[in-house]
Amino acid sequence: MTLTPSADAEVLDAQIAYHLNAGVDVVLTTAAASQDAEEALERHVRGGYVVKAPSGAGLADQAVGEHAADWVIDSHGGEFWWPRGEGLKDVLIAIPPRYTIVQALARPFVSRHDGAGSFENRMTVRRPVEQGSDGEQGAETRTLRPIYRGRPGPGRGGQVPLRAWYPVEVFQFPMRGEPGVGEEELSRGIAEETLVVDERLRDALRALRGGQGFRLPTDGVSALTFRSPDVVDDAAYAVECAAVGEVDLLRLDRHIRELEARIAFLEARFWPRVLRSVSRLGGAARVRR
Amino acid sequence: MKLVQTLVVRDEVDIVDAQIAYHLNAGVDFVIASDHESVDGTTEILESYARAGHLLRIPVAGPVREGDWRTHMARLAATEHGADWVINTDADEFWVSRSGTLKDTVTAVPRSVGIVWALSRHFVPRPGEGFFADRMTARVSASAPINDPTSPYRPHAKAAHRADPRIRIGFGSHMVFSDRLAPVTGWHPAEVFHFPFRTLEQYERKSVRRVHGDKPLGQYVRANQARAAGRIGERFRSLVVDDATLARGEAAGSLVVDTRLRNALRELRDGQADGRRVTRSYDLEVALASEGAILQDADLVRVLRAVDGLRARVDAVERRGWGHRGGRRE
Repeated sequence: MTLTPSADAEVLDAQIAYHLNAGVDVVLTTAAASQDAEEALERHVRGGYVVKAPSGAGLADQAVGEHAADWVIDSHGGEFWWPRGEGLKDVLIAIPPRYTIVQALARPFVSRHDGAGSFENRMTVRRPVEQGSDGEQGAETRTLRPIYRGRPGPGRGGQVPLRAWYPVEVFQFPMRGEPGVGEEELSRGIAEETLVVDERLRDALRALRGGQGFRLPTDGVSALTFRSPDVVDDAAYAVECAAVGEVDLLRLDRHIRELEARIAFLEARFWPRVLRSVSRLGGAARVRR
Repeated sequence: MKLVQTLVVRDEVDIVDAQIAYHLNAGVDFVIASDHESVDGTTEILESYARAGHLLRIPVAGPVREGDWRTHMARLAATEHGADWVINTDADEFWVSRSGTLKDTVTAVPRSVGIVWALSRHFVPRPGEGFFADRMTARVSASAPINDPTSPYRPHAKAAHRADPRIRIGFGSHMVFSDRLAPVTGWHPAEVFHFPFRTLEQYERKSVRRVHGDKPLGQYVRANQARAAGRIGERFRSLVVDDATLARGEAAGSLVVDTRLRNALRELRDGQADGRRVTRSYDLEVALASEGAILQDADLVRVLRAVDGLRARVDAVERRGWGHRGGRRE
């Protein structure tokens, strides 16, 4: 995992401990923006789970090149990547090789006005999936976050995303200081189903909290147990995946037209280049004679 | 009118007898079966049907070449067995016509149409060890496609076709290729009841076998991974639908109880079956239309995923210099 560290030490500490228990092997990051967060980071660096780099540029390449990563999660501060399976590795290892990107479904949690208690106890309410609208790509960008298959070499061209199914959810927690929601508004939102109660991360972090901070995996064994969704969960989740609206006839038509244009461009270049090459070869042969 | 069923089977002793008996009573005239190195008693069951003149058993060995085997059998049905129509099945699939027998159904297909698809209905594993059809009476009825490449419950359909000596059958019989038969999509004259996972032992055996096959689907990769970690039982139990989950699924509308096959097999055992089971009802027709639309959505996803694959190939060609000059598109 490459991580843009949060300035909030509590969130950063929870984020690293949670992901190490969820199946992440190593976290690559940069210096944190606050002294508290930096101290939290250093504890994990000393534990050997976190590697600090001087800058955020090229972290993904470093993950692949130096740490032989099979998959790379590019995480922002306050994001928790939740597998729909027994762990992140369990989910990602079963992805067919043809897909080079798995997309995670964003779950934005709302900030609450009453600031008492740990962040996971305060933030157990999130927004439902944002409905995609015809041809509007912005909604997808906000709703889906990529996980990349580790591949050596520069750039990320030629990627094949797994569309219309999102085997990982990413819980996004607002940073401290962001405008919050009052209790009355929360209750109304939950009653009207414009907000959803989601306590999964709270329960996971409670399970990880020990006497001296969060527990880390012991000899590679996670302190967390993830529950695999059953078919009823998957059927409900399918409705949410469909609501993202990543695939419809209009979009398919747009993708095919774009591909046609590129193939036409290649075709237009192909034969002139072949003829020029043949002509050059012919000229060289005549000169040799 | 002669209806021939093809079957690829390996070690499916818990279900194969019921599968063949059911189809012979549902309008199938003859069965051609590729028996892939079965050792659990499946071969003996196939041989008993062969001795009675209902079946041709073709022993096959070595690595799985499912498409080739199915193609060979479908062509054999046309050239050697006088088939008019062919249905291509697995041992865990039961074709159910919407009314009358399967033969009535394909006979009613307009002359201009040569290929039709039956909608798959996935039945979930239920607790217990008894006969699968007595236990497994709940099926998935999702209101949106489960497009998870590791799920056994992805929407799909199976092809039936008129006899064609040059036909080619694709993996899983979801697609068939013919230069003379016209397909009709969006209309499903039959359903295929699918019982992919029935017991832990069968789940483990099938997953191990299929993960090393010609198309290791994500569901088998996941099962095999769980097996390697000593968690195959846990993984199977996560698939089993207990009574509480069934009640939750029924309330949500994503699981429905469907006893049609159980009843048909019971009648067969009691000697009461006449093969003309009428399954048509308004509710079933509405559900079938709805799930047909969900299948179309799933197919749209499959097409876009294929387009993504093509786009990646075009990207690769462009990066080799055919589409760019100095790293930029002209």
